[in-house]
Amino acid sequence: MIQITETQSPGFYLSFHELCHCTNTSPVYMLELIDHEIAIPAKGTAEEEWEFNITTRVLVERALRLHNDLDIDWVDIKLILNLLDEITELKIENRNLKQQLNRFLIG
Amino acid sequence: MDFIDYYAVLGVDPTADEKTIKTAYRKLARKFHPDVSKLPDTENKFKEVAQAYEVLHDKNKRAEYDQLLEARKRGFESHRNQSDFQPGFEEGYENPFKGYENQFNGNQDFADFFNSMFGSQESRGRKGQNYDTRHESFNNHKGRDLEMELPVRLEETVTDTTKSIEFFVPYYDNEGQLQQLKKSLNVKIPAGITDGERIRLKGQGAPTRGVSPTGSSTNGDLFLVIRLQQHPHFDIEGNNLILTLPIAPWEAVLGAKVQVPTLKGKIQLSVPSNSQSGQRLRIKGKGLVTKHHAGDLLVALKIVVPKTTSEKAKQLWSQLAELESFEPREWSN
Repeated sequence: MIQITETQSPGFYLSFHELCHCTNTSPVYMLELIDHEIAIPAKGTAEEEWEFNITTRVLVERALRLHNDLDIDWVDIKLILNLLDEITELKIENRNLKQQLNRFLIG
Repeated sequence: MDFIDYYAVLGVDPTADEKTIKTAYRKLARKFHPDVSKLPDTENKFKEVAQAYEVLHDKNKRAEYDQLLEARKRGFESHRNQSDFQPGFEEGYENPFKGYENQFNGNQDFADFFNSMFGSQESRGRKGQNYDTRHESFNNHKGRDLEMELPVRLEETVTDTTKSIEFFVPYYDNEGQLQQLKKSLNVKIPAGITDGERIRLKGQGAPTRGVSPTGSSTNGDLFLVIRLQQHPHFDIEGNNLILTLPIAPWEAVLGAKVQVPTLKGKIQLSVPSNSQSGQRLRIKGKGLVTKHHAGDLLVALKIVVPKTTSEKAKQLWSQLAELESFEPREWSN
């Protein structure tokens, strides 16, 4: 094992081609996802200027899994992703509220 | 790994037609898909279902699989009469294991043998991703991305900070053996980072096969997922912090000045007189720091009573009870 130490500043955005690469998706296919507003550029107005939030990568991977594994079309996938996000937010809120409540309860 | 009966996995008869197999797959896939199912062991179950469908919905693969199944049945039937397991073939029956004798014997795992015939799912690529041939090569030159969670304390979100992380990068050495490279990085974490936020460390992922992982420009990236650690005093509500503040009954009635912690140190808080348990006092700007603004600190008052009371104190409480015509229960007459 070799140990390497360095300091690095993080990045928060991915270019269009970087997003294609890290999700293993062709540019043509990615444009389809953008058309359906599953991947939405955070910056830029043209393909060469687009920058995507890092979280878009997770969204795209999830959408691709649902599309490829369950044969769901893009419109339904958009709805499913919104619902899954809502579930995640509700779970976080529920967890936080339980934590707050537990500070008041004894036994 | 035991032999997997793909018909049993999908819950269909070996004579099922394509439509029946597709319907069975869809029903199970939606039940076990990891993105929507919370059942235990859902990922493995889904992989099993997907593998079964991959074989059974393809005419050629299904035919090969059916041959294997039949040969296995015959092999077990002949095994009952033999001391060592040998695949039993009747005269004129074509040996489906021709060419694979060295790989298959009575103790060999059928699933391994099957993968050696049909390959793994990952290598076949994803259905529906029609690669434009002009772009086919773009994925072949970079290594795999890695992802890991990075725990961050609430105090570390207040200002820019540097955190040290250690992780292992998988790579293949010159002999083709899988190795692990231990890497240590100091990562700059900006102020205002939030839970679930992802940050990217370019080039810190796995290298492409056959390439050294050190200093390679073809490494994948490392993605860090920020996880805010549970705090002993504070809870989170959006951008606000909640502090549950225990106070004595007399402090609630008479008011008090108390010290409370914040992410940047202690401050003085004035508790108003006649405060109620559960009442929240807002301290502006002392909550979570985000990229755009700072949230507030909400102090939730919790009136606590001493666990033991002296006789004198009990007398005073009794006098107070007689003096005050206070009824806390709204359903009392």
